[in-house]
Amino acid sequence: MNEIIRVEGITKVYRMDEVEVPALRGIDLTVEHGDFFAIVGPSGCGKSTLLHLLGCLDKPSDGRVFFNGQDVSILGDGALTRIRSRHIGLIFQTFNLMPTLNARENVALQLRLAGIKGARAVRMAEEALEKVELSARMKHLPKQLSGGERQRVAIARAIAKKPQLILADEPTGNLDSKQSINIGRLLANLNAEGQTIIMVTHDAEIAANAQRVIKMRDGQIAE
Amino acid sequence: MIDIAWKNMWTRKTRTILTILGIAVALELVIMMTTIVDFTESGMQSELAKYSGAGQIYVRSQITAGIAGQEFPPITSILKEEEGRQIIDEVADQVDMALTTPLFFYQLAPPPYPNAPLEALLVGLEADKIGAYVGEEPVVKDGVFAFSGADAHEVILGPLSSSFFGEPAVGDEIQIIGEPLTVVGLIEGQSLEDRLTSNVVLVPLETAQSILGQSESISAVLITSLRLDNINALAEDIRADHSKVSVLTQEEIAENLDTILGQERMFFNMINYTVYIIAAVVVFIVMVMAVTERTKEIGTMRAIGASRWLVLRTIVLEAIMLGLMGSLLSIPIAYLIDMGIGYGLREVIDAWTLIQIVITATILSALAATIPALRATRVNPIEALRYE
Repeated sequence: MNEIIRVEGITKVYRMDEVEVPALRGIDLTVEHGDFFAIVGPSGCGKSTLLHLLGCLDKPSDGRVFFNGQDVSILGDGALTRIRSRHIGLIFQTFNLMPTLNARENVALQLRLAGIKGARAVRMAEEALEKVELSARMKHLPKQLSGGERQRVAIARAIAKKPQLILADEPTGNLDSKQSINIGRLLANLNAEGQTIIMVTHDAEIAANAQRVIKMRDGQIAE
Repeated sequence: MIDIAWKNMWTRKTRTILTILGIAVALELVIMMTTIVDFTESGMQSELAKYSGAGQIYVRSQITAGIAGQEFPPITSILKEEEGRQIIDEVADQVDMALTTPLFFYQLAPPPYPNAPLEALLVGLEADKIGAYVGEEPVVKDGVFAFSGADAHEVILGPLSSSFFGEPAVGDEIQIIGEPLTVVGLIEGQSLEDRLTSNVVLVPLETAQSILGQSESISAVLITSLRLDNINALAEDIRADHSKVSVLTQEEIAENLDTILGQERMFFNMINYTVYIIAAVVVFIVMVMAVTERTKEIGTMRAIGASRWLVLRTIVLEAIMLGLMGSLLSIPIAYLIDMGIGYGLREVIDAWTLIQIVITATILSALAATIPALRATRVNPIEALRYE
């Protein structure tokens, strides 16, 4: 089976005071190993909500999410946390690095959470940083790095544990165009090496790096 | 995760140092208080041990129910000297006359803190029976442990009272209620030990009466029984013949002293508990602030795979380190303050007391951090990732 994640008829409804706000209205999607999907669409169309459900950060109001064939929509917090720590790499728009840890420690932290400890974690962190061309900056704190460098550390953090799936939420949203292009290329290169990636973006140029672009509108896949 | 907790503390150095200092200063107070209580208690126990087997009875004016029953020495008691001497005469065949004497008490200086012994207590007693009140003959640092006559204007000082009078030397004159008295002896001892004797200002009975203008009055009669097994019967005899006096046996005095000590212990423990609570509140506030400030970091940790338990452990670990460092720092601070005050507590601080304080403070810090840590575990990673 080549399928890594599959969603069947998922809906997500947020309750704000007494009002129910539907964010997703019945999504079906299958992602296979080696895919690189870009999810695009206007603000509020449900892109990030879908990404959170794919990343086991949230549960659907209805429908089912299968990760490696296992229905994760019925799992508890502990089991979902274990899946995230071992199999999913997350990249955020605002980088979300630990400000008190340097680049190498940030990457190593993710490895420790995945159960890889000690010298092996340090070695793998250094390899990941080398891959994103940040070997010379591994002892720098996030505040000593540029926006593009921080995002590359975040990518190194996501790929270091060799996850089955990388989810990127607006990875270039806080970067200038030059840095955005570099990050887009980096993700494309990772995918070329076999890494499965799902990316939410507003940026059509970045989305062009993906194999498939999914357009969303009003909580549904438009095309 | 100790490295992460340590880095969180290290990155916010100012707050960490201030928190540790706050805890240290609070616990330094606990160390001082606990040591004073322990020291006073051991002093009193040694004092009681000194009296045990002495077979002594105090006869004083009638006790007002409930209040004066706990008073020792009986400084508010007033008896006619004639009645006191009559009591002594009646039991003369059953008592050791060398250790039986009328006593005159007068408060020269109040206690330095609630329920503590007086700082200086005038004790008038027959010139040749000084040992009756202070138990076995104490070590005299300088001078003699005797008066030259029944109305000699002479005084023997305990270590605490000597300090109250400005550490006079033997041969110096001191003023007691406007009357000059010559210091003839200085009793050796530590300031907090020998609770019942350290504060004494011993003068001959007649001199005490004359200074205070009460030549016909005494405070109490101290009777030392010849036979230990006869004390209760002796006390009963005196009670039967003299309905207007109160008779306190050695056992009752010990109970009174224990009551006083219990009050003292309660007083200090109340302060100690309050200080512990203050230290815990400091840790609580700091950890609430830390969790609030780090909502985004905690959310990120949760998103990339940190379990709730790991988040809780990291926060509690940070609080434990704050409590541990604060309590360890409190020890040298207590020593330094003690050196400044000159109480000499540093020579008697019990290592087990320090260990208990460090353990208690560390556990309290961990408990104080539990609520903010539980709050941290409830951080929704999705909300936290939106948090700017």
